Amino acid sequence: MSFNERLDQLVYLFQNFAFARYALIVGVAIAFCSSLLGVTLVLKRLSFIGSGLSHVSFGSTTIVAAVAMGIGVENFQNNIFWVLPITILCSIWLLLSGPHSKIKGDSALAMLSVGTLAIGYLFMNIFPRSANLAADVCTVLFGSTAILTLGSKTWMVWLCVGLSVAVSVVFVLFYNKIFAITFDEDFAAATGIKAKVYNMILAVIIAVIIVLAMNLVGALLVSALVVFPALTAMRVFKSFRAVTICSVIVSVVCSTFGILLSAMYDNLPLGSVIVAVNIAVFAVFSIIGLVLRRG
Amino acid sequence: MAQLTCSKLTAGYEGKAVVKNISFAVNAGDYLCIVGENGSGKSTLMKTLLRLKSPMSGKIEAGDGLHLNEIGYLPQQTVIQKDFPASVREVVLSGCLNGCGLRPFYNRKEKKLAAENMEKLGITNLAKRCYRELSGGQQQRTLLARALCATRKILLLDEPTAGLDPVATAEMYDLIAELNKSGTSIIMISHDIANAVKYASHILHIGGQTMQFYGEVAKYEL
Amino acid sequence: MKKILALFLCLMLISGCTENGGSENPPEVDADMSVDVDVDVDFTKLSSTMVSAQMDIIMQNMQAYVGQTMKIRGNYYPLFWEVNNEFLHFIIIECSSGCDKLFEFVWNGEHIYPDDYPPEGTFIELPGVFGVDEEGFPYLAVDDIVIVA
Repeated sequence: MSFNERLDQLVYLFQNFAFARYALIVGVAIAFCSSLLGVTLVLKRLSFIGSGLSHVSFGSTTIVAAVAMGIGVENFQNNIFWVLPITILCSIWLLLSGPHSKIKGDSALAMLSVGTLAIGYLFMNIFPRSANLAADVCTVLFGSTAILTLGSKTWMVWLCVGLSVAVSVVFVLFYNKIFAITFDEDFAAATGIKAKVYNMILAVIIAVIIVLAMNLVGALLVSALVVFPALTAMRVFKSFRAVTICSVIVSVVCSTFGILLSAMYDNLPLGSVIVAVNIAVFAVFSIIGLVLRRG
Repeated sequence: MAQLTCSKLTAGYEGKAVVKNISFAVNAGDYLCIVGENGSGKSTLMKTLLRLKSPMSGKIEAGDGLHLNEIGYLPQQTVIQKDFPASVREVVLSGCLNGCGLRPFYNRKEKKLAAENMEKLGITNLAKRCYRELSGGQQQRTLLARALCATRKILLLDEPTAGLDPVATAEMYDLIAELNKSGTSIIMISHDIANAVKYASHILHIGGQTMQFYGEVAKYEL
Repeated sequence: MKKILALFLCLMLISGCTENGGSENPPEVDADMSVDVDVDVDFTKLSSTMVSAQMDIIMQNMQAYVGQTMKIRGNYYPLFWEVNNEFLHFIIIECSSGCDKLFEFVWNGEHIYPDDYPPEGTFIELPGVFGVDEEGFPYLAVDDIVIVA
């Protein structure tokens, strides 16, 4: 198939299939808001919180689904209303046991992360929601088509876009506070900033972002989506503001590119492609950074 | 009334007292140096003064028009800071945060204050530079400028010359002395007793989990 | 639900052996590929990930798609369904992540298996109309089976 034919394929897809259009919109929205906190997470040495929280989401999703099946109610996708509060609570617990008891934070995260992943997978095998277990696991863990099926549910689209916008607005409003408690929490607390409150706000935002991002790249790859754009931006830029803006742009571009590639070529599962594009851009920026530093 | 009064303070963490029965008072314009062996509890004491830790017993009182959030702080460097992408200006500005309340952005007055403090500490030319690329001395001056943005009244400094070369150390002490002369009270932790005695007005010596000496520097015997 | 589960198990077991009678007669096939009829859902113009997604969406909203024209490609797979003592015909659609989907189709008119049908495993294209049978299972009603080279 020539490249032009593939482009035609792309045009055909977006012209005729609403789910693809919506998926792109939601994908961009999620990529936008999820990269905002990447810098903070990386610098607080909490890069893996994305992973831990997404495993918690995964675990709680399957448990809730199993329970729901037992009662005979509910569809898998509706679980966001359960998953979000549970993830938020875990996020708060993790972040608040954080910087001053670093070891406790690390092992708590490890326990939670792997434990819920195991239980989630166990439940999925004991209470399968469909015959095709492998596909379900694939979708939840790697996000092969999650965002695309999401695109077919208008209410989910609006919910996700709404949450993304809300997260972004909160981030902008609390930007200076987030900077202060990330750079030097002790100083902030000492000079009268309510660090604990802001840490909690941070925890809530992170949880929302993780739950959203899981729909784009799946539970196992969430860390990559949140953290890679920030790391990429940090290769080249020197101020917090520049890094934040750059990571947002990188994230949106990579996710869009990933979705387009997945639509043009066969056998490219969405989550992995987006992460792969992120990695490639990271490599490019690393080289640019090296060159700039030598020059 | 003194700006900061400590009465029979016992401080520690996780139920273990590290220093007991500390009493002192800092008046406006004082320069208090807290000295003692490594691990004698000086940092714990300072953190308690800053309300980062709760005192196990005893009282800390602010007076003379000082509010407890008008205290500037220069902490020891934490690991995070070293590779943080932040410009000097962003770091210094963050000292103004305690005056912002819920306001999301810094106003012109605060930006002016930050510029003045950078000027005062001679780092205006570094404003756009990345904090992590600075030398130890430059980083300390940035953090000091930040502390000044938080307040003019009283500064608490935790080992401000740790890791600095002799030239930078001397410069730092000079800077702090100048600030003190222009009216800022200083409480500084240092294990550099020679310099402490040279610049300070009062000494608090901590040893054996308690106060070994508190008083004017002239009365302090090494 | 159980039907699909059973079929999937069969797929696993059958992988080694073929029930195909090895028909010598080439099947009757309409090679009318020149006319590109405008279909509602043309899977042949989508990448495999999008095919997978669209299939999932259809499966979640089957009633909304009843009566829509579709064109889809996959490997032909016949299965003997003992319950009704008849052969059922499927195509296997390959999706990403190695999770293939089975989609049943019904060839309108009188056709005998295995004579009229292509050999198992043939890559075929099915233009047809989507429907849902009484038991709630989806299928594609086709007039022609097109063999893709």
